[in-house]
Amino acid sequence: MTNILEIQGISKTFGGVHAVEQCSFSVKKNSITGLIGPNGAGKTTMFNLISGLLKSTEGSIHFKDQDITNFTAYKRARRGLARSYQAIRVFPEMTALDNIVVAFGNNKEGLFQAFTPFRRHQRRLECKAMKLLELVGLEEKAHLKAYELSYGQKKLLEILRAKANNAELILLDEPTAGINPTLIKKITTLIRQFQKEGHTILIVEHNMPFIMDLCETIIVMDRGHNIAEGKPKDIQSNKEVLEAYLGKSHA
Amino acid sequence: MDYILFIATLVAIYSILTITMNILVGYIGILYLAHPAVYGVGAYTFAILAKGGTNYFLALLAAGAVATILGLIIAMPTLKLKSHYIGMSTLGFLIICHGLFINLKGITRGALGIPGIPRPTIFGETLNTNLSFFIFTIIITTVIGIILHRILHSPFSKTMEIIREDETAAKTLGKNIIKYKLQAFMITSFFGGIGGGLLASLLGYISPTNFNIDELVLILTMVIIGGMASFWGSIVGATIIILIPEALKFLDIAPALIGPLRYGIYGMLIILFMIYKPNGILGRRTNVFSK
Repeated sequence: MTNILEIQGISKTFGGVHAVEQCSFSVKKNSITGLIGPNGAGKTTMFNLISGLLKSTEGSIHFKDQDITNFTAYKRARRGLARSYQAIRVFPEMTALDNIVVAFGNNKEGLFQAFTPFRRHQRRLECKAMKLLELVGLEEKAHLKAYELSYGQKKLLEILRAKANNAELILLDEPTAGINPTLIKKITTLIRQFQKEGHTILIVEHNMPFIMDLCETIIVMDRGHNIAEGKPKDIQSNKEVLEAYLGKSHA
Repeated sequence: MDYILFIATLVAIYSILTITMNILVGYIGILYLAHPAVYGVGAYTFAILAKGGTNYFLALLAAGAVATILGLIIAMPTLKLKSHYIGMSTLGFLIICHGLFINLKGITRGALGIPGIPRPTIFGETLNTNLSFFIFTIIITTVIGIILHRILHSPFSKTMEIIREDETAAKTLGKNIIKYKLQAFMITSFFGGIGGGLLASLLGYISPTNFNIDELVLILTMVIIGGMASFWGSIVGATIIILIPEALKFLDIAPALIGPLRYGIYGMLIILFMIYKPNGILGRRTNVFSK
């Protein structure tokens, strides 16, 4: 298997704070990879660096064998990189259906395409979006405004939106935070299905049972460094990881 | 009757001005407060060219083009700014342009204004009556209205709206925010400029007072009352706000009081709508003023 994402020696400093420091890891194509670490380890900063919302101070990011270090966020998204957010960012005033339709890359959204026949194409995309909503049983909520959905439903919607954006690599930032166990199961099946369809998934998570069950590889970050990488079993007994979470004396 | 036609023409033109402002404020969520400067430049361009003997329609298109250039200049700093700072910078542009209208006496004749702006001539017939000019304006504004309606009900406008809702999320969905914002500015200023040209042609006389902050209050009231991000709302808003001072004329109020009373009513309407119906009559809930 080849690597879809390669991160080499990346650093990000905010003034004097080294949020991410000399971090290097890679994500295998078509894998489910977890990124864990204690609070403040730099996981979300890492996601922002990968998706292009932040510019790295040094280091390089390769995506699908192309150097994307200097790409802006929207260009990276068009190359096939999508993400969800820790604090939900659905479009509250649009219907659940539209939230997904706008994410399709080919929805004739150019200014001059407004003067071409777009309605049939839109209807086709709406059908596609509806199928995605059916995956998680949200089809009845399709025409509700996104702000009317519950927290968990918004989270599902955001994951579907990332998938709709024809993403090869999907970054999920804490998909299970604040969500009930039934929905977590739904999310697990959803992620497994994405993998079967050929997507690669990188997850930041604090929910250990969830991530240990789901991921093939886990990368552990602490204070801006990546301190360990390996199979869930190995990670659970890794001394450095235990130290990072529990402190030296307890490990 | 003649007077009603004049008011109806005014409503048609202000509808275009309101919709175009709504594109930036309501749809894409940029707190853009320089609209009178943009359509003012259109009006001046049209007035000078049409008086100089340029073809009426060419002069209108030139008004749109020159307004577009100003629109793009105004857009530059807003691309780097956020929320209320955009309001400050665009308001600054409005004040600068108003100052230029007053002081570039060689071009605009300063505070004296430009009189005698011609009405169009079609098939050798000059449309000097209010009826003929009303029909002419309705045709042009309807064409512009159809174009704008098409744009504002297309996937393009949906993308504009997600940029208003959440710029960061839109970015990571592969939307080129800068391109969309520049295009929105171009639509607004081009059609706004044409609207300004029509306004100049209707009034026959323009001076800097036609394009000052009072005018901004007027248009902003139309946008807010009609409703953010709403095509038909803008038309409703423009109609109501144009009709209010006209209705006042029929009441038994001293003429000297009508002017100040008008602005009092606009202010009160904005406050009442903000409290009781922040979406406007037909509009959508937006975060433009709160973010």
